[in-house]
Amino acid sequence: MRTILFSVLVLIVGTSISWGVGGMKKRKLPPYEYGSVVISNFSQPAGIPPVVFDHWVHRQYYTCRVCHVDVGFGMTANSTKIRSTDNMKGFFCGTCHNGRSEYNKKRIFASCAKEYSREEYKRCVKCHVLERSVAREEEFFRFADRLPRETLGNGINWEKAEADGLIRLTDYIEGTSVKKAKMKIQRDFALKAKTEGMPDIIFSHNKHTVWSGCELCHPDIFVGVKKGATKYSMVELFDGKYCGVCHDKVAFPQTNCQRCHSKPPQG
Amino acid sequence: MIYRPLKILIMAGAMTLCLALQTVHGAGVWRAEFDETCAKTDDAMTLAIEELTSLIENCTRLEKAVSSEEETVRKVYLRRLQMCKNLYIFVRESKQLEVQPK
Amino acid sequence: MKTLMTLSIYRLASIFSLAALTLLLGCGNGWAADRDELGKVLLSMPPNGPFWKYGNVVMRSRSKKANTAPVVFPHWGHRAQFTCRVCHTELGFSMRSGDTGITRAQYLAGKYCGACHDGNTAFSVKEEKECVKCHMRDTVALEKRFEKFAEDLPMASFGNGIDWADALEKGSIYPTDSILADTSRMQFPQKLKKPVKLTTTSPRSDVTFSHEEHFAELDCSSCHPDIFNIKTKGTQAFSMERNVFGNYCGVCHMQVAFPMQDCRRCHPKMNNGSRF
Repeated sequence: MRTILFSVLVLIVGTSISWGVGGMKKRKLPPYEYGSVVISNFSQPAGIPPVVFDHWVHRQYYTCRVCHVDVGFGMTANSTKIRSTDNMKGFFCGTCHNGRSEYNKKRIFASCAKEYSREEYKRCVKCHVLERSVAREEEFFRFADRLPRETLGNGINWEKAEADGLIRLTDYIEGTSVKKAKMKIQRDFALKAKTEGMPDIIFSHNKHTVWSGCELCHPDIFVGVKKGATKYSMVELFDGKYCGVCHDKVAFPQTNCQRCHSKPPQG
Repeated sequence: MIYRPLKILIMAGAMTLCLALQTVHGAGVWRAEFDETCAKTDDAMTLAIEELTSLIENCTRLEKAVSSEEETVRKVYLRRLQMCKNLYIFVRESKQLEVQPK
Repeated sequence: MKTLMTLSIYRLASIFSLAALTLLLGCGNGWAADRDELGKVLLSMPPNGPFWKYGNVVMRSRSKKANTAPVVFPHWGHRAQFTCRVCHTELGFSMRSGDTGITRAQYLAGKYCGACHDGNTAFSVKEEKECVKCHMRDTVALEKRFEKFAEDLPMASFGNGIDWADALEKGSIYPTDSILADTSRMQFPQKLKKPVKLTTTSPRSDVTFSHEEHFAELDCSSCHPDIFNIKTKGTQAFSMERNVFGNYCGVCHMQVAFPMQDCRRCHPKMNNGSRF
């Protein structure tokens, strides 16, 4: 009896030690996989693979605001709880993926199907993918190669791409978006870095509001009303909070330090 | 005697029509109000505190109207209203802080 | 009779649980390599293995399917010309074998290897006669190249047999830090110039980690936040054993950078028992 008890104890202690986390490099996401979101609220019980949503495909056409504010998608995977019925009614994915809307004279395929037939299934697997396809990777490279480069993330400098006119982003969808007045240009400001010698962060309010609008960040992500009210550090950011809500998995990654810590040091 | 059930049928039909019209008409009404209320989020910083308060009240009222809609509409519009309302509250708070002596 | 049976059942149960324990310990994700892999690494390192072999990465997952010889990539050949940053941050190579997923189509299109091996910076991947320079059937040519390469470089007793730090200091090698046209590197933060003291069980074996030396070759993103948590004292279970098995410092310092047999490189006050 004692030997069993002892071995069980060793087992428990042993596994808890061995399953400790840290010290290894995480799997590096290839540029075409960065920004990929797996949506799996209801797909498994429905017997279909989960949806793999690629941000890079949509970022070239629409601003963040259009989907995350106007259409109503959440900022974390599985938070929106989209059902196929919602899509078929013309909400969420169905806002554009309805088989009727066009972009650049190309018809956008409809999302979800009423019946489960072999014909319809071919359309289902456009989003409900099982594995990465080489064709998709090549499509990404064909797209990315003509855009300004950046290290890490998608390898694309999206801001510069828009500034150079290589991509044109739509900010309004008829029937869903609300017609808004032009925004007053927001001021950029500097945030002091905690580590001495680390250049200050230049936060561009302007760049963020042009793509995201105000309600995307305030107050859900940045709660503090007064500037400097919320104290946070890189540790929280790497954990996916504050700036990390976007700059951990979709926007240019936080591991690219100098992208934000760009204020030239004084003296 | 024969006309009784017919009368009931006609009345029932009329009532459902009224109800249907109301929801349809109602949807149109709150949607337009939603568009109007939430159009100002982008320049919320330029609005006065009183205007923000009235916009917040509008949002609360719209939330009630939307709660009686069907599931998908509720899911989408309650979320959008929440974002809209929370922003106005946020901006109002920051303005109130400015006005108050620190 | 009954007592005999119960005794054997107990024995069986304890054997089974111990076996399960070893299995679990082996495949828990706290360890970057298992004993088997560590054994292979140790066998290839001096004094057990030759100098030219240390830091070589063999890539064979796709070449096997294509019936081509695997690629043998020598780190020593590239270290002299480029810092770690250039390939691992700018070009996007992963630090884990099998992770990057390089395909022939990609390098022919100028990605990964093809970014430099384009006929200008180095021999082109598109020339058929050059294929065998990487897809090698045997390492004879590689060994000869190494001999010639290491001739003028300062000697060491570990790893590649080359004291890279010394070579860098003396100027025998002058690696490029960036190959992308418009990247400007962030200035090295003042606070990080002070070496980080890592305490161990005895003050004699304390480690002084120099950020500056690592920043010369690497990028912040190479180590942070995946390998090392930026929270001070946030790195958990940072033991020597974990290092040897390829975690933390061991990610580089067991397979490419100077290996951990060279104790005094990090533990300067230790009495290095070996004759090296």
